[in-house]
This record gives sequence, structure tokens and C-alpha cells, in this order.
Amino acid sequence: MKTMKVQLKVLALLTAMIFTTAHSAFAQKQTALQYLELIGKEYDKISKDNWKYTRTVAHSKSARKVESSRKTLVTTTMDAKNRVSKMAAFEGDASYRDAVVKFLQLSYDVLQHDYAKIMDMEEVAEQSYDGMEAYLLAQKIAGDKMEAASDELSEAQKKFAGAHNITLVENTSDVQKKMAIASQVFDYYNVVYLIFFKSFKQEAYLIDALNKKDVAALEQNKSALMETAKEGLAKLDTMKAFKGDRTVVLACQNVLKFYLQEAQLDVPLMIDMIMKADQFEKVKKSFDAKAQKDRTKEDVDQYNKMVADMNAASNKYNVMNDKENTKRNTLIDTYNAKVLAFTSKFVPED
Amino acid sequence: MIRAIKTMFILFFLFVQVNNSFSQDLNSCNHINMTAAMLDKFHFSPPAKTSDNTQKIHFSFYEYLDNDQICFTLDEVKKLCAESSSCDFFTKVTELYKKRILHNDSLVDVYTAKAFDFSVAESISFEEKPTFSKALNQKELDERFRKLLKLATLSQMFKSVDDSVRYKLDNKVYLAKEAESRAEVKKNFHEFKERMLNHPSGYEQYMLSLFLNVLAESYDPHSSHFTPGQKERFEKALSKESYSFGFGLDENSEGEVSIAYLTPGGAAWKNGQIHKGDVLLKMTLNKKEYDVSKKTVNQVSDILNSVNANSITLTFRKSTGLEESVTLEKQKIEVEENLITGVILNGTKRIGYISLPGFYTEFGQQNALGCANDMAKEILKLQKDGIDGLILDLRFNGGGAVEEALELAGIFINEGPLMIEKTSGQKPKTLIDKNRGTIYNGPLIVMVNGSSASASEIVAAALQDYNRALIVGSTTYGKATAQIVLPVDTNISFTTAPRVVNKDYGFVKVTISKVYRVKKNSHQNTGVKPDVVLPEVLESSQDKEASYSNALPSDNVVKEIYNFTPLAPLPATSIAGKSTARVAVNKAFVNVVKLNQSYKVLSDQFQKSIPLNITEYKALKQKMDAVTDQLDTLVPPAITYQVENTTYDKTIIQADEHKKTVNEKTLKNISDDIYIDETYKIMQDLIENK
Repeated sequence: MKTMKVQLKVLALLTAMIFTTAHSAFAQKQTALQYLELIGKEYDKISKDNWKYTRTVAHSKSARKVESSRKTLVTTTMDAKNRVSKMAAFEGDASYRDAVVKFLQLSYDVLQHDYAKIMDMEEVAEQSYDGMEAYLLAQKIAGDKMEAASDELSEAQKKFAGAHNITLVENTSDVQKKMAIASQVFDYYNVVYLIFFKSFKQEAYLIDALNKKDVAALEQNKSALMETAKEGLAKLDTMKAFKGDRTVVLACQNVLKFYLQEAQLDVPLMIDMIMKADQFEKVKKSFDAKAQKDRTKEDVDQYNKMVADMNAASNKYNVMNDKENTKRNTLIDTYNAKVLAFTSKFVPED
Repeated sequence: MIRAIKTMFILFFLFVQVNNSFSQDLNSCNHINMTAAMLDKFHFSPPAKTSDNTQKIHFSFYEYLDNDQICFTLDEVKKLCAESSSCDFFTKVTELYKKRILHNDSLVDVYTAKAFDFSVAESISFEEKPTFSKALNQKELDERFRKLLKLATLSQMFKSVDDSVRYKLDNKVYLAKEAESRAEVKKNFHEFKERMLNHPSGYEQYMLSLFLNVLAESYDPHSSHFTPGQKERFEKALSKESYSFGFGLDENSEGEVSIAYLTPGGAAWKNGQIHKGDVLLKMTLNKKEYDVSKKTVNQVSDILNSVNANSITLTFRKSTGLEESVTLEKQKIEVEENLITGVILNGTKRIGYISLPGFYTEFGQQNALGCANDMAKEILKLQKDGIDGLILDLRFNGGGAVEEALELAGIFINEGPLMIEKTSGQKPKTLIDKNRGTIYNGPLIVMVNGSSASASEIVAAALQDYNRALIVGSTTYGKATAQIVLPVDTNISFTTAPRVVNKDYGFVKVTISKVYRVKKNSHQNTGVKPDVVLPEVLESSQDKEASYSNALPSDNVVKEIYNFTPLAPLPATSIAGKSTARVAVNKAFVNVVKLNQSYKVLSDQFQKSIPLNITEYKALKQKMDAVTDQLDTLVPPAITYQVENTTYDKTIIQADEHKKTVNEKTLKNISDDIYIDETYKIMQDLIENK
């Protein structure tokens, strides 16, 4: 399931740094150029694995494949970082090398989702309402940090080139072009994903409360789900198609409409059921406590009526529950399929 | 996970298996040092180890032992308290106290040998708390002891007369009871000696448990020490399996037996007339009356456990100083039952009313559902029948599970921070509303009074800060601290517990954190101030956090707060103005104000000088009774609404005769309550102002 936002921004930054090649005005500066190119080679390896990972995310149904390509990218990044960090300073100037190492280390931590290394997670938790918000906030902070580190690296590279009379030439490669397209696709998808994810999580809280028969949590999460679903649907309404394709938006709308209906119609039935069962338990206890000879006709009639009511309500509830579970599964499966179809369609395959 | 463990700690008591009682062979000095070390390690702000503070602790113990000022002379007190080591102090004071008990015990026979003369004009004063300068010499102590015995006899003479005419009969009636009363007093004081010197755990060990408790209380009023036996009693009483009256006992700082807690759903809880801190004076089991005013908590427990009675009549001294009697039927605690009941005040508006006497939860159970869940159900029942507003009554709610309080406040707040908790040695932490969304969005009033403490103050404060509810009543108790119960074992730390915990040294309940409002200020010591103030009965004689000189101070916390978005302010000032105008001409409230004034004058006078002359004593008591008798006449001036059950509850009540009887009483109590009556009117104003 695509419940994870794809951090394309991070991946794009990782790629963008790789494709600045250089040429030298003076032959005697060849060593500085060689130094730059050596580091450039490390970039090359990362760049290839990075694209492989992006491509897999966009095209593959297999979580195993996605994970394995991510691991490859992680290893490549770490290896590159280790090699670069072992390089000597160039004529006593280590600033460029260090900026590269810092950037690769950060990329590694972000790819590993090891956010605690790059931010105060306690502080993130304080600022967030729940785990979901903390996760999204951590991703945002990670993205911002990558951007800042990337800018810093650019500066260091320019400074190094300037100091050694090297002119940097921006060179748009094939991979970079493909990454740019992928970036557009995932930027669009991520907007839908966020809308989906908020309601998806909210429903998970609701189901949790239902399993615990926690009426307080159930009732509150019901009203919260109504709010998030409505808010999400309003946002989706304003979303334009991506190159004429609106399938992802439509699939997400269907899921949210289901959530809204669930909150408005199904949850009140669930709560009613819990309350009825409670009430029945109490009356049953009083009824059982009375000796048979002491039971009035009224007692017996009330009890029998409640038994009948309970049975009817249970049946109705069970039927509803089964139907809604099937419906939810179908809608989410469809949504996931549509997302994969969408990214497969627009992200180049090779 | 760490959060979950921590929360469990704060929630209440740690339940550790305890089999051993206080072992005899453990050295008292070790005990004292270990307990102090444990308190120093975990307490929110342990006092500095100065000789001044040590002396204060010693003095507190002297005060505890000799509150009546009949044991120690000025020279002795000075010398004892100046001891630099608490171990030495304890050894010496224990030895000396034993001598004094024996000395006074011998005096009892002398002083009660012949009849007291109640015609002479003499008096005894309890106005002054013991101080160094006020301590007496031996001759004065003996004379004071004589007066104390005389007072005890005098009071005993009146006790046997029926409540309604207690101070109204001719002197002859009481004087006829002088001899038997004197004999009773003599017996009681001899019993006291027996109780102390032949205590089941041994005199020294018993004294040690008292000293350790005074030591713990010197850190703040909510820290205390339990022996393993005391802790076991707590656990037993909390058990839901057995039939019981549903209350737990403890000794208060005056050594009196008092209500430590009510078991949620138990007989005492349901009765609604018993509150935490009430001092137990007397109990009647199987028609036999027991005077417990001079008994230890152990002895009272023994009586309760040994006498197999299905009903009990208890006489309490309430926090206001008044005596009240309550009869309870033993019953099994019903866990599955909702412990709170919502009703509808049906008048020109339909207002839901729910009273919550404490914040309960199922202890030690994962995913436990507590009072917040029950509250949600009550609100849904009320909503089904249609309500225009909701009153949540937290008067006399002494607190309980903090998690439940947060969850309860969350029912009315969409999302956001509710409180800030600062634990010693840790960064302050925001406590948030666990669930997004609300259950009830309509007009809301929270009722509080001076006995609303701890968790109930958290709810009132949070709802006030969010402008979500109007707070009505009087300033709350002022306890914004959280405690944890730990075995006295310094190997325990916040994050780890040793594999084998040493329980030989008993347990400490220690204040580990302070709670702040979302606006970063604290209601510790100062209480939550209501938006609309109603005069509270006998407010001046109430025991509150601020009555304790060692209570932790009120301060602010430094902390970044996120996502705090209060609602638009409520028209509190104009609503308060209307209420004040109504209260000023409401006969019942006018009486409350008058009664408060005259009672204060009389009780001050009584404290200052209790006459030992029968005519004067009777006259003063008569006056005080006349004032407090008026309490029973406080009813709403007119009927504003009918108190009705929800449709849902009617079905349940109808099926059960016992429930019918209990319900009738509940409805009557609600309709007779002048505070609910005025709150209903405030709610009308709030609805109209919306």
C-alpha cells in the first residue's frame, strides 16, 4: 500500500548535485579538476541507483523490490561517503570535500528514515498532535535540511572551482531529465497522498476505538473523521488533472466519500449497538436476580422484547459490518492500483 | 512505551506483591536514612539539608505527638529538636514519649478518681498551635492534662443525648451521666496507652512508622510513607471481588482516622455523602456503637474486618467541622456498571446534569476504560433525549486518574495541549487531548468547590483556558502535583527497576511532578478561580492546599506551547453579574453568607476558649448548633425544573426495585440542591448569550 509519501525532493536533490561537470581553462590546474571529477564519479554511482529506486517506486507492485532498490541506494550512498571522507584535502583545502561528506551523510540518514540523528524528535513530537503529524513534520524538516545542505554544497563547489580557475558547466543528462519528470509526477501525487493519509489515519484511530469499545474515543474520532474527510473532499474538488489524468483524485475521492458515510451513518449504528448491549446486560442482571415467581408479566414482556431487539440489532450490525469491510477493502485496493497505474504511466520506465 | 510506563506510575499506586510486614530487626536509623534518600532522589523539590530544616522536621514530629500540649516541656522540646541527627532525635523522643505516656496514664487515675466540678469557671484553649515559646513546664502540662480529661468527660456527657435535643436539656440530665462518662474517659485514655505501648508491631516500630510519615510529609503535604501492612490494606480495600462498604481509611496528620478514598462504584461512592478526608468519629455495627475517635487506623480496620455486619452507620466530622451520619449497606463492587448517571433538568430549558465524584479507571489493565468512557455514554444518552446545555458537577471530586481527566476534557475540546507536566530533572512535557474531535459542542458549565482537587482541577482549568466551559462555584483546592508510590529502595530510578525490589523499608508516596495550565501558570496552592462565584457553606473553615505551610508554591513554567487555539471568550462578566444579583436576593444563599459569618465567630471563640463550665459550654454549643441546623433548611426558593432520568436509564431502573429506591433519593438530592438550581439559571443566561 502506498501509505508512504515518496520523498522525491530528497531524491531529486541527490541527483541534481551529480550532474555538474567541469572543464579547466588551464592545463596546469588538471589536478584540481581531477579532484572534482573523482568526487563526480561517486555521484555517478549514486545517481544510477537513485534513478533505479525512483523507477521501481513508480512501476513496481512489489514492496520487496522497492525495498531492495532502496537498500542498494543506501549502501551506495554510504560507500561513496566513506570513500570521499578518506580523500585528502586539496592543497590543504578540505572545505569542498567536507561539504560533500556532510551532504552524503545527511542523505544517508534521510534515506534510512533515521530522523532522530538530524533533528530533535522530542521537539517534533511536542509540536505534533500525534504520530501521524510527527511523521509528516519530520519529513518536512528532513526535506528542508537536505535543501539547505544542497545549497551549501553548491556554494562549496563554486568556491572550489573559482579558487582553481575551473568553470562549472551545467549539464542536463538523461537521468536528470527523467528525474525531473518523476519529480513532477510525485509532487502531484503527494498532494493527493497527504489528503488520503490524514483520513486514512483518522479512520485507523476510529477502528481502534471500536475494537476497544471505547465510546468516548469512538464518538470523538467519528466527528474528527467527518471533518478530515470533508476537508479532503473540498481540496480534491479544486485539484486539476495531471496531463489530462484525474484518476488518482477520483480514486481518493471515492475512499473519502466512504469515510464520510462511515462516520455519518455507520458509526452511530456501532455506538447504538454498544449502548444497547450495555443496557441489555443491566436489565438482564436485574431480571436474573429476580426469582421466577417474583417476575411480573411486565418484567417478562420487557425482557423478551429486549432480547428480540438485541437480536435484530445484532443481525443488522453484523450485516452492515461485513458489507462495509468489503467495501473499504475494495476502495483502498482500487486507490492503490490507480496510484501505481498513474506513476507507471508518467514516470519513464527505463 | 516509556510514556506509557510513566503514565501508569502517575496514575496511582504501584501494585507490588507484599508479604512481609515491617521487620523488627531492621535498624530504625537505616530506615530513616533510606526513606530520606528515597525522597531526596524522587521529590520534585526536596528541601535543602540545613540544620534549620532538620529542626523543622523534628518540630513537626513533636507537634504530631503532642498536638494537645500535654507531654513535653519547653526545655525538652528545645533540646530534642536541636538534635543534628534525626536518628538520635528519633531514639530520644521515642524514649521520652514513652515516659510521658506512662506519666499521663498514672495521672488519669488521679484526676478521674472523683467527680469533676463543672460549676467553676475555667476553660481550655486550642487556639495556639504548639511553638517553642508556648511550650509549658511540667506543672502546666499536668494542669492542662487535667483540663483535657475534664473536657473529654464533659463532651462525653452530651454525646449520649439524642442529636435533636443534644444541648437543649437541663444541666441535671447531663450531670447525671458524669460518673459513667468519666469512667468512659478513663477507659479511653488507658486504652490509648495500651494501644501505643503494646502496639501489634511494637512501640518503637510503630513510632518509627509515624516518624517516617512526618518525615515524608515535611517534603510537601502529599508525600507520605506506608509500611508494607498499610499498603496491603489499601490494595485489599481496592479489590473488586469482595463485599465491602467501599471506602479506605488512613490516619490524617492529626492522627485521626479519616477516609483515604472511596472505591468507585462501592457503597460509599454511591451514597454521595462521604468524601475523602472526612474524619471518622463513630461507627455502629450490629447495633453496637464504637467510638473510634481515639483508635488507630489498624484497630478500626480490625473491627471492620472482624464484625460481620451487612450495614454500618458512620459518623464523620466533615471538612467544614460539622458532624454527619451516614448508613451504608455492604455490597459487591460492580465493575461492569456505569458509575455515573446523567439526568435532565427539565424546565424552560432542558439541561443535562452529570455529577462525577472521582476520576476512576480500571487499574493495572491495558486499554482500561474509565470514567471518560462512561461520561461519553451519559452524554450520548442525554443527547438522544435532547438537551440545550450540559452541567458537569465536579464538586467534592478529589481527583484520581490523570489520564482520565485529560480524556474527559478532550470530550469537549477538538484537539490541542491541555496541561504541562514538569517532572524533577526532566524537560516539561505537554499533555494533549488524546482523541481529535468532540462529543458535545453545546453550552457547558463545570461546577466546582473547595473540595474539587487534583484531576478535577485539571479539567476545570483546561476547559476554562480554552473558553470552552464556564466555571461556577468557589475556588478549588489547589493541588497541581502528581505522586508516585515506590518501594523504599534507592536502586530504583525513573527508567529502570532492580530485578529484586527491596520492600523491607516500606513504601513512599512521593510528589514527583507539578502540573501547569496550558497558559503556563499554575493553580498549585492557589486553586482554579471560578468565572461565577457562589458562596460556599463554611468556606473559611475548609482545609485547602494553601492551609499547609509546606505546600509547593505556585509558579510559571517556561515552555513552548504548540497548537493552542482557544475558542472565543464567554460572556463571563455579564453572566456573573446577573448571578450575583440573583444570589443577593436568594433566601438560601443569603442564609449561607450569614451562617458562614456567625459560624466563624463562634468557632473562633470555641477554639480560643472552650468553657469547662457546663452552663457556658452548653450555651456555646447550642449557638453553634443553631447555626449549623440551618444547613438542613437550605433549599431552592422555588421549583425551576423537574429532575428526570434519561429514557435509556428509565428502562434499566424500571427493571430493578433497589435501583428505583436509590434513584428516587438521587433525584431528590439534585432537586434540593441550591447550587444546581442557581447553575441552571446561569446556564439559561449562557444559552441566551450565545
